[in-house]
Amino acid sequence: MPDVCQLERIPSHRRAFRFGVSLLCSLGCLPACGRTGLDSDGFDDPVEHAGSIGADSDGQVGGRISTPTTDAACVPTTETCNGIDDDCNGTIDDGLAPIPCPGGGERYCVAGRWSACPDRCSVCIPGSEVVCFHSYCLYWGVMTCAADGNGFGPCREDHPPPECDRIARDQKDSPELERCCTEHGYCCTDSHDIDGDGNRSEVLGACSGVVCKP
Amino acid sequence: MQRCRVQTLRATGCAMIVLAWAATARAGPCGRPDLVETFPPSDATDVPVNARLTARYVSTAEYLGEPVSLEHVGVGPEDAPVTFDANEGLLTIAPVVPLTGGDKYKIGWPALRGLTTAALGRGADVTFIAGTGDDQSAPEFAGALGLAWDIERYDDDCTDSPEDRYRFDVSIGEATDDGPRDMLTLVVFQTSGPTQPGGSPEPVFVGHLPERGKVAEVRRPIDAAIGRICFAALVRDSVGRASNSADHEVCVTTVRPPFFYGCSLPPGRGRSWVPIFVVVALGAAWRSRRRPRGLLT
Repeated sequence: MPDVCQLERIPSHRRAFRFGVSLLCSLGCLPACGRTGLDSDGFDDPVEHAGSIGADSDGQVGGRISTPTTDAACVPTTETCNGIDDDCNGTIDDGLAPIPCPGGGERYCVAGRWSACPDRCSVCIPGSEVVCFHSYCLYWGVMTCAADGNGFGPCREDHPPPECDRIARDQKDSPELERCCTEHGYCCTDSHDIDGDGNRSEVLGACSGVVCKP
Repeated sequence: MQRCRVQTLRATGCAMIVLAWAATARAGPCGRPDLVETFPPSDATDVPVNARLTARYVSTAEYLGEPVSLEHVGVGPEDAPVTFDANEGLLTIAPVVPLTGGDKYKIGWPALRGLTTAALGRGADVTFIAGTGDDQSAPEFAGALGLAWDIERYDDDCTDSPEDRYRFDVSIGEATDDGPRDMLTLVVFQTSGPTQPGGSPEPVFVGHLPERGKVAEVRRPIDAAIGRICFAALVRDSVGRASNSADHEVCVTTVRPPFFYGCSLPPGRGRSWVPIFVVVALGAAWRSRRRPRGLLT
């Protein structure tokens, strides 16, 4: 996260220009204000702008990843999902039937590869909760999955359940508290890596109704 | 040091304005298993007589055998087996007897229960008029043509806090089919990004094909959309045939937030904040002028 104080290094004339632009933006004088990514030098230079339509930040227009075969020497073979016009009919990956998925939906040939099956769960089940741990006060908290299932919200402090209350007071934020959490039927963040796999961002315990891939 | 405080003050003022605006951007009941959209939509006409009739629910919806009614208006109820695709949240009925051209039908899509809430979601009654022919051929679709991105901050009803997402506006090409346009389903795939290093394209948007000139809004978690991000799209018709358009990709390179928002406010919204920003800005300028000269360079 860039320190606000990094802006100290901005030359004074550019700082003045930027201040003026901000002021004009606030007054609605400039139509193209906002939606700007601060680039690596601390300014939203047009060349480095993100957000351009139809082109990436290098100015390269994204488009067809491969072109149909027009070579007279094209040897027709069976069309497969590979981004190539195998059957030499001028169309890439055409006529490929979608593949049904076990839980519903279908896989399609997309950009020369078969797509993944659709999944109702992106990261977590909306509204579900996972226990997190604080290093102060009650040492216990809860994170709730966002409405779009794309991630958890902040860790909000909460009272630990009776079975873990004493451990929370005695051991505070500790592997023992995390172990108590998992052993009593909660889905818990593995912030102390109690399973020893080196991953402290995973969840452990009863997480089948919380995260997509427990 | 003093200058740092001025910059911090300015940044704080900007953040307050951005947060105040974002707080009103979007809200919804947490995890309620509502119906999102139906195919055909209500009051649709010219629905192909062999069309699958579907309703899409939010991802937390569970189908537990609730009845789905299909009424041939003026004739009576009709039999139609029901299937539920949990992956896409699609409830589908396939009439045993093909629809009668020119006749009116009514579907009662049920309210479903959800995975994380005891409350019932929202269902809907939908009426439509059948067309005169079958949907026989696959749709033609120009695919994804352009892409813009932005960070969107909204007040999430489940987390009760502001959440950040990347929002990608995917410009969509023209689509044609022998069935009506409002029976076409757009599917957008993310083909490149941190979570697809050489892996399978991931379906990230399913829904009605946007109106002409409108974009499909795709929201992605921050971690899934930093760096070079590409999308491709196809459409499905009323019987599930897909267009051959998914070899077109559009790409952008995103920047990891946080970044400078520019403090601008959307037109027609939040105008009352402008004076506050002006006060903050003038305050910052006044404090800058009070600084000893030596600290300025």
